[in-house]
Amino acid sequence: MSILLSPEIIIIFIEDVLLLGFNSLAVFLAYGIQQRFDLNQTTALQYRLERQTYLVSTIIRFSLFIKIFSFAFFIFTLDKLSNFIPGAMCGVGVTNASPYGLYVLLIKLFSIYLYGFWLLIDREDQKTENYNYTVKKFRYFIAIYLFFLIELSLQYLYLSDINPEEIVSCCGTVFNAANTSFTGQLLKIPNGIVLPSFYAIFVLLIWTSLRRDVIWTGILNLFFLAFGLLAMISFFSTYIYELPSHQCPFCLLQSDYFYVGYLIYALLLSGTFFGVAALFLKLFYGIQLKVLKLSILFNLAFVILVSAYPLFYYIRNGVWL
Amino acid sequence: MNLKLIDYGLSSLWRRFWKRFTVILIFSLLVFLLVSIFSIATSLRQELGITLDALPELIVQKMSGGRQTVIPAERAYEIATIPGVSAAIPRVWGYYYFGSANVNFTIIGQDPDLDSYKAKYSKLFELNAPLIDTLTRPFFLAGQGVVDIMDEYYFKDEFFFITSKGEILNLVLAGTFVDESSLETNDVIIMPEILARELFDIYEDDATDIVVRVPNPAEIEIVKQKIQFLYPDCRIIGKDQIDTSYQNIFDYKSGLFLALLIPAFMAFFTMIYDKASGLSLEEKREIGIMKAVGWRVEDVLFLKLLESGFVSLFSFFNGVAFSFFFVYILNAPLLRNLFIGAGNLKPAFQLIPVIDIHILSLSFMAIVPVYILATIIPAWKTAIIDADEVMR
Repeated sequence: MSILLSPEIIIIFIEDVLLLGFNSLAVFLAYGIQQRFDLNQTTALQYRLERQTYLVSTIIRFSLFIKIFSFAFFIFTLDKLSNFIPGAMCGVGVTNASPYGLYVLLIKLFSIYLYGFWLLIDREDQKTENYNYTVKKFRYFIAIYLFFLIELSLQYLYLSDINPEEIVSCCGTVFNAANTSFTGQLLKIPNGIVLPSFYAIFVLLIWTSLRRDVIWTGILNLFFLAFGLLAMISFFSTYIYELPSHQCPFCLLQSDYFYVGYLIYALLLSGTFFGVAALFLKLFYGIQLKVLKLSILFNLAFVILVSAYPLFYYIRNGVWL
Repeated sequence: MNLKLIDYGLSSLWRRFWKRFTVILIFSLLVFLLVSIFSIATSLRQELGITLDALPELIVQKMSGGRQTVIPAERAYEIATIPGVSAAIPRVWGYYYFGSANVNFTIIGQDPDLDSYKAKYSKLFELNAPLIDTLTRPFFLAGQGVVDIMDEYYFKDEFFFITSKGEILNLVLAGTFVDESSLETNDVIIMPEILARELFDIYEDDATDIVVRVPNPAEIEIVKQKIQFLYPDCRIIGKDQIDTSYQNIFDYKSGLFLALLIPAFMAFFTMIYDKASGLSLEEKREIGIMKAVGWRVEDVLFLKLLESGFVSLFSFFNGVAFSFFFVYILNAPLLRNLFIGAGNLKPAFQLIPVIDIHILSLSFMAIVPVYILATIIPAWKTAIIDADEVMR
């Protein structure tokens, strides 16, 4: 039996069909707008195009909201599917049930970033009186749409590729340093390197943000994201589970740990999002965004939250894991 | 965010409440259906979970030609010697078809003097001990559902079973029992093992199957392999396998139901789209006046989408409240048959209340985006109305 008939998957498909329909309409309008938009004209056509921009913007805005919710829902679904798939005990097993799994997750995340950037450009555009970025933002949306199509196809391939009869590995095997896979190799980097780098990048990040150095902050944010995830898996997660051998980025999304993972990842992703967004908008559109404060706020909350786990563990037990 | 705008949105919604009534009604109905289906499925799964907890870790069945046959009871001694096994108990049980009512009873043979594989059953004999007179009258104990059925056919205190050999076995009803999970015990009859053997024609050296207790979950898999190695002709079923197949069944059923609801969603989408597109003259004039006093397209758009936000929240909570009432207070008439079949003996149980964030998020994700997206284009159409166009 395929998993395609479980209610979660059906809902994901309903959402995708709706988004596909509306985004296709949006991209159709966006194409026309970026082709013929000319503020100097006073024709009926120009007037119509100006009014269409509102529709496209609204559709994209709602798509982003739905995408954020459905990303969380997707992760949640993976976690739930682990009940059916033999061997899987959390989302890791389900992700690895098909070679597409990891890419679907990454591409979904990336896609939210892209939609988010669009929204920020849109905000800036609405602040200007004469539609400075309108043509540019709709061109950018066409690129996002193509990306969205890839995302949908990959997701479909992934979901139809999962075979509930096939045994998969659980997180204990995948995130084991003895494993020769890429993830296993990454964990061979000792905590003595990962942790100091993680905190060092964070300190640098604060410094560059205070100096309002958008370029370096953006680049450092990318590193912070990578090292944040690495440190999560190899160090912080063990303290959340209070088990030195349990290194897993997915189990903390389960009810046993009060779904704390959703909060942790939301903080990390929002923090790095704003940092990278400032870089992206400056490089490609010359827009100076004032979001570095937000970025620092979220990143700081992330660092405090994940650091609290080992600290409290040490205070309670008097030893490190 | 502008509080005045929200205030205005709410009041304008209230003024046209009756115009939105059908939308709210249908929206609530869809939410109601979704939440009910998911709640029933979750609740039943919970109920089966209670049953599963009491189940032994492994069940060993002897197979012959792909069919289950009786298993030599002595194999239990051999299995009990495997390290990690705390008990291996041969069971005698089966289904008894009662033709007049067209139902199956589950008959469990249990020696009153021995401990059962289910602590509950041993206790039952103790509870009913004063009524039981093993020596003079053969007896049985029955679940409430069985007693009700027998009552219907005027079997008050005794019942005539027909054995496999065609002989009549007259037994006295010594007591009934109920349980927290009635799904498990509703159709159960417990009788002394010797009578069950007579009924099913199972020799003394044989058993229906053997249940194996393995206290340490980490050892289950190894024990399973050892038994399989010892008796290649046996099929060994683990508790986790049963759990997965239950989950599969319920997920499959609620998924199927959801899939069937998709056309309803499409119809809902179309209805919302149509309803939201058709503006009355009065509404148009209102928008025109707003535009004339300086509202921008964004403001009107925001107002309209705010309205649909309110409508969807209101209808969602409406539907959820009604569905909880329907499922947990009225015990979900009609709908629950979808999950348990409309057999004569199976129903008559109370659904266990589970309020699960999972159910709510599923239903929310299924229907709210449909509604909001359906209102986007009409809201935009409203927002771009020109002031002079309607005021003229």
